Amino acid sequence: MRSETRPPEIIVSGTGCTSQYARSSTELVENIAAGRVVQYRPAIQDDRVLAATGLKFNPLHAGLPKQTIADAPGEVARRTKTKRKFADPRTALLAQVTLDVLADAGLTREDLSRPDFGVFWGTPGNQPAIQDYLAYAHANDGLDLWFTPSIRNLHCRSFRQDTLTADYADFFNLAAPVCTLFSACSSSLSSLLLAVRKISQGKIERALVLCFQEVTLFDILFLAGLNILSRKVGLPFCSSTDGISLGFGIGGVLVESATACERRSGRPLFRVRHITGSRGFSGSVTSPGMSVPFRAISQGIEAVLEESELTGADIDCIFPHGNGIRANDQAEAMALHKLFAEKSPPIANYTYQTGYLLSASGVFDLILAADVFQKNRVLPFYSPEPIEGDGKLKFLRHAGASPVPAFDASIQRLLKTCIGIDGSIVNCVLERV
Amino acid sequence: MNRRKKTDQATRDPFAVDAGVDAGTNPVRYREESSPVRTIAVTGVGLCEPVGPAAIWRPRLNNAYEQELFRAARRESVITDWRVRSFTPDDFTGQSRSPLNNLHLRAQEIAFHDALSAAGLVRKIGRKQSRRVGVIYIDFYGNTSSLERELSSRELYYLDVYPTYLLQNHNISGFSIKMRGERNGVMEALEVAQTLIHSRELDTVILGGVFPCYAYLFLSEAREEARVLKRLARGGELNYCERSMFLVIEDESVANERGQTAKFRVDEPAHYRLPAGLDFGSYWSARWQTRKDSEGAADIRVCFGGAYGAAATDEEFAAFARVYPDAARIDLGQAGDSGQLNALLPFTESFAKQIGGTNHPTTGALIHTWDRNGSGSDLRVQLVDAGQANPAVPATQK
Repeated sequence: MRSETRPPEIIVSGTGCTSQYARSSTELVENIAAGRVVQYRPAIQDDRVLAATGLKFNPLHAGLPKQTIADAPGEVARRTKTKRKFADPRTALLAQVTLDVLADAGLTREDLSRPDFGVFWGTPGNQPAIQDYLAYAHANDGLDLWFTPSIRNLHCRSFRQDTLTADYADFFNLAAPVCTLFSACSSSLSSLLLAVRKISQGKIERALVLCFQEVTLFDILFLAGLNILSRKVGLPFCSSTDGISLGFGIGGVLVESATACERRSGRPLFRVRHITGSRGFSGSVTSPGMSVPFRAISQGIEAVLEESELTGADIDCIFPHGNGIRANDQAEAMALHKLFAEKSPPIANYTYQTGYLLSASGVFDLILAADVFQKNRVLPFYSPEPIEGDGKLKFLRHAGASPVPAFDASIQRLLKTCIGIDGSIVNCVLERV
Repeated sequence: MNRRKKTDQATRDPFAVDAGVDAGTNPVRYREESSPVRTIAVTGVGLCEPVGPAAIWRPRLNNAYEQELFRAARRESVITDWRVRSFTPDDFTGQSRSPLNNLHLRAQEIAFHDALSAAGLVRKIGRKQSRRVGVIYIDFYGNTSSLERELSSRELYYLDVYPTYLLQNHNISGFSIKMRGERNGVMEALEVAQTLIHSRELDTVILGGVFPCYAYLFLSEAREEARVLKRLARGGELNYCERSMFLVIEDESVANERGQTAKFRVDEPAHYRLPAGLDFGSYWSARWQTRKDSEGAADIRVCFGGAYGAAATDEEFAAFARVYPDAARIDLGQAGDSGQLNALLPFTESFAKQIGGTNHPTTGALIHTWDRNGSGSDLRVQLVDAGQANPAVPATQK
């Protein structure tokens, strides 16, 4: 049934990001190479809120400084020479990263308004700040409204996605609506999958994949309720910690067909050889599990290899998901061991250094994948504790203050895996152009 | 007694092979497979909505903020009253036992099961097919669990992260996502579903969601959109209806292989953004006229509008009348506003009967949605073997 006419090659030609760890793709790579670690702070600053939540500990969070978010509209206005104000500074931040991605790809803001340009957001979208109203959601009186005016944030603006998308679409004068999709922590690759499919079918020529997830009090309470927040900084694939340490970041990549890139004399960073997605059952209807089973992960990887007409021996490097939840990490490590034990390609996971960026975690790895193909190296990741099963798999870890040299190799193909707590599994094979 | 309403559309005759849906707005330039473009069909529809009549909504006495919002919304918009049909525990009496307590989640469970049942997929998704079936869940307001009164952490996860129980109940393990869009969300999801099916990522996509009604949100929405509502509203009442609805969308050949016939064939939705400062009516009629001229869409017998704000705009219906003067015009708002699910209503039995009321063998319909962003979409739908459908029964008579 395979087609005689091959589908068009899909390439990634631009990247951009912002987070507390790095304000640009270049800074991200530099910080990883220097072995720097993001600064974590207690997630809940207000002691009264912390007491009200009943949490046993204050989880760690690597968020963007409030001032950085507040300054974003001015920054965008400066870059685009417009006086346009954004109603929500978060939209300005998204616009800023978009402009970075476009600039990196050698495109302009006007290109984004073309009808053959798709915009995909991998994110849970706009989320309410529940601390503003939670105690008063079902009953309140005049005095509550007087002393706690934040109750009025219980408003459709705090819930609706168009709070973010409307201004964004207007600013870039988009021809079609922003396509917002979410599959928990695999949202980055899910949106990449969709962009790749649409380009393959010729519906669009290029797409911007933009991913982010704000860490709200709701997220903290929800994840704490599931008991998957780490007391100290979470170390993926390590036995000493169990849980995630949250971070906030926005990352984006530009995806286009190779012919479109060639036509405009663009610079391809790497090719997306194939990408597949699936769901792994975990738990039951009465008790949903948060860890994805080993079988589902290995089947997902096998599927992407099969679809790519490759074997485990063809993969030269792996960027696993590795979120820090022990059960997840163990299942993923087992799957990798099962499929790649023979060749044992280098494995790198930078989650500890960047913070766990939830929906955006995958896209930050795509930015680092660009460095692998462009500079013929794989940067080692810093982890102060030993990795569980280090002998079985070849983790490129360094533990010292001075970073070890990068793993020099001409990597041809890289496997990136993404796993979400909703059971979603998305894997892709990236290839040198 | 089972009191809920559900669609249970009878299996219809096989359809003509020559009706390709992709001769539409988005010509496919590349194909991943050598086979020709296949038809996308709706093979199952599931709907769960409250049984009771819409009740006039009043703010609670112990809720000052609700009262404040209510007064302000009335003052600023032309709406005098809100009628709401909400799920009650009585709606689920007689249903099989469920571990779920939340009514919205239960409604979803029922609508999802009904959709699969209509498509002949209940207990038919085996190990091989499991990875070929996916679910696109369409979310309107995002995280709303904080507005629910009682919720276990499990139900919170289902409401705000992903309703994985739907997948587990039916052994579905294909690529599945949640999408967020406003009233246009269904159209975006339909396009995504078609993309996934055309690219052979999936054979079957189940698409839909639930629309919960929260007073804070519809009142603040009325204030937010007072200017638009003033233009839209007829009379002084706005109807809301909680609903859950799912469609089973399939590659037609896959459905045929298991002896299932299509109930509708769907074209690919065409999206647009309204140019700023333009007269909506003129833009729409010019757009639909161009499409009609280029595609020869002469089979449009019914135009569905009014998906925004539960009341059709005069401009929208006037544009329909200019381009399709012979077509019936149906206001989707008459059945009560269900946010993102409004655009799915033409697929329900009662609306399908209205499409089929013309007794024409291949009856087409145009569904138009738009939201306050100025994002809009139109979709052409063909009711398969419309001649067998019964005469029209207005949805409002249910």
